[in-house]
Amino acid sequence: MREASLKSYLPFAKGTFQSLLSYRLNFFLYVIGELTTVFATYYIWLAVYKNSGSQTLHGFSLQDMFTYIFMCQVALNFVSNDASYEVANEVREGSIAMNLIRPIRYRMVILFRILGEVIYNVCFVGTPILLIVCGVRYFSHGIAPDLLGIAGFFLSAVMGFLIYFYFNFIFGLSAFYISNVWGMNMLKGAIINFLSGSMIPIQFFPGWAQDILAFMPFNSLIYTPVMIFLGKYQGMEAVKALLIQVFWVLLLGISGVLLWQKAIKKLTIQGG
Amino acid sequence: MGSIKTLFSREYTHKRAVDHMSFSVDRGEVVGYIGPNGAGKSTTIKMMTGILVPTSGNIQVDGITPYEQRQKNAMNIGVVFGQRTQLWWDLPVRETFSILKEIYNVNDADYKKRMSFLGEVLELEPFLATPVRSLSLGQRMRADLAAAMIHNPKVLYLDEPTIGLDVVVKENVRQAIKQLNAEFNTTVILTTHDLSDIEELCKRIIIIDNGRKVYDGTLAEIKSRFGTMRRLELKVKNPYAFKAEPLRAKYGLSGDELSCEVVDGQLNIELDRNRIGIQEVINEVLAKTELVDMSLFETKIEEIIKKIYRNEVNME
Repeated sequence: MREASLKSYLPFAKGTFQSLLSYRLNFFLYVIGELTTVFATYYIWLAVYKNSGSQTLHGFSLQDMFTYIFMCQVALNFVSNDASYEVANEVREGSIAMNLIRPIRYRMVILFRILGEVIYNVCFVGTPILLIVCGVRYFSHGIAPDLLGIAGFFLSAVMGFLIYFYFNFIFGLSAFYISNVWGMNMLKGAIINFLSGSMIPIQFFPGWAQDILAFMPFNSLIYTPVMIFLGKYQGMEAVKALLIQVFWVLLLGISGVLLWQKAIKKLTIQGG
Repeated sequence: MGSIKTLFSREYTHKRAVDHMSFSVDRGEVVGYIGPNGAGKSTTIKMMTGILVPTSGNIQVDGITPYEQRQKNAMNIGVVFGQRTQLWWDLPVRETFSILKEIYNVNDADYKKRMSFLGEVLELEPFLATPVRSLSLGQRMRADLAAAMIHNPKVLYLDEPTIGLDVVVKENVRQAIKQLNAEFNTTVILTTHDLSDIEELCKRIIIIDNGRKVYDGTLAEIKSRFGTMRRLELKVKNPYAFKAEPLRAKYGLSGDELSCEVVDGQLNIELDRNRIGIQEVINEVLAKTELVDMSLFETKIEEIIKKIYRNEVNME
C-alpha cells in the first residue's frame, strides 16, 4: 500500500508549534523558572570551587563547570519530551482510537507532535543560551567557539532526543499493563535527571557507578552531547560516544516497534 | 496496602462482549446496528475499524482484515464516534480538513469538489474559521461527519452520531447522511439509541443483545409482524382491578399477545388484534371497573424494540 509520507506527519509538528506560540505567557514563565534553576546550580558550584581550594575538580575547571551547567540546559531543550505521558494518557482516555482509525503510524504521530515542541524550545530557548555561552567564553576567557564541537553537540543532542523519545514511548506503552503510570513517570523523571548527568557531571560519580552507567542509555541523553561540546570527548572518543548513541537509538527504536505490536493487541477501550 | 497491590496486579473478570456474531453488508446499504447499552455495539464497530483485535473469528471489510492491515483498512473507512471528536482541539475547523487532506493524500481537485459538497450539505461555512474547542455540539458533529467523509470512504461507521443533539440539528445530520449515501453510494453502519434515526435512514436493522445477534432483517418486517399489535390506554376508577391472566387463560394467549401495566394511575393494555378482539378486552375492563377515558394506538416501533431487548418476544 501507499505508505503515509513524512509530509502527512508535518501538520502534527506544525500544530504543536502553533499552539505553543499562542501561549506566550506560559513560555516566559517557563524560561524564567528554568534560568533560576540554572543560576542556582551555578552558584552552588561556585561555592564548592571556592571552598575546595583547588582549581579543578575531576578535571573540570570552574569555567568548564559554567559551560557544563548551561549547555546541559541547552541539551535538555533538545531531549526533554512528554511522549510517555502523551501515550499513557491516550491509552487511559481511549482517545488513542482516534489515531488508530487513520492510515498513519501512531509513533510517528507522537514523534512529530513532540518535534513541534522541541523545535520551538531549541529555537527560542536553547539557541539563545548557546550563543550566550559562546559569547561569555569568548569575551571573558578568550576561548574561540569550536565549530566542530558545536556541530558534534547538535548531532549528539538529536540522537539523545531520539533515545529519550523511544525510551518514553516504551514507558508510555506500559499504560497497557500498569494502572498508575503517572507516579512511575515522576519517579522516572527524578532518576533520569540524576543519571543523565544534568545535575552532576558523571565524571564526579564513583568509579563503580560510572562503570554501571556505561551500560545504560542515560548518559547518552545529556552528558555525551555536552562533553562533546566541551571538547572533553575528542577524536575517536567522540566517535565512540556517538556510536554508542546510535546503538541505543536502534535498540530502543526496534524494541518500541515490537512492544507496540504486542501491546496494541491488548487494547481495550472503555465506552464510547 | 490495597492501592500498592493494584499497582502491580489487577483482577480481571472476563466478559464476552461479542459472541457468535455474524453478518454481511452489501455495498451502499445503510444498516442500523442497535441494542441496549453494553450489548456489544461499540465493540463490534471497533473490531470492524481495526482498533480492537477479536480473540477469535474473522472480519473482512472490502477484502481486508481490519486489525491485521489497520492502515490499509483506514484508507477505506470513515468513522464518527458521537462521544469523541476526531478533530484537533486547538485548531480551526478548516485547518483540520487540510491536515486530513495530507494524511489521506487527497488530490486538489477531489478535495475542492468534496469540500464544496460537504460544506453545502452540512452547512460548514459559518464556523470553518472557528477553533474546534469553541464549536457547539451540533457544529462539532457536522464537522466530524465531514472529516470522516473527506477521503470519500467506501464504508462509514457512525457510532451514535445524533447523541445529545436537539431535534432540528438531528434532522440536519440525518438528511446529510442520507445525501452522502445517495451521492457516493457509501455503505453506512449506524449505531444509535434513537429509533427515529433508524426509521428515517435504515431499511435493514441488526439487533444485538448480550453480545449476540437477536434480529437481522428489515424494519418493515418487524412492523408487519407486530403490525396487529394495539395499545389501549385507559383511564379507569381502579386501574388495578383488571388482570391479564384470566383472559390469557380463556383465549390461550401468550404474554406477547396480551399484557397490561399501570403507569401513573393509567391502565395500558397491549394486545394482538388477530388473537383477541378489542371488544372482549374492553368488556372485561368494564366488568371490573368504571371507565373514564380511553385511547387506542398502533404499537410504536420503540415499544417493539424494547420488548425485543427485554426478551419479551420470541424472534425465532
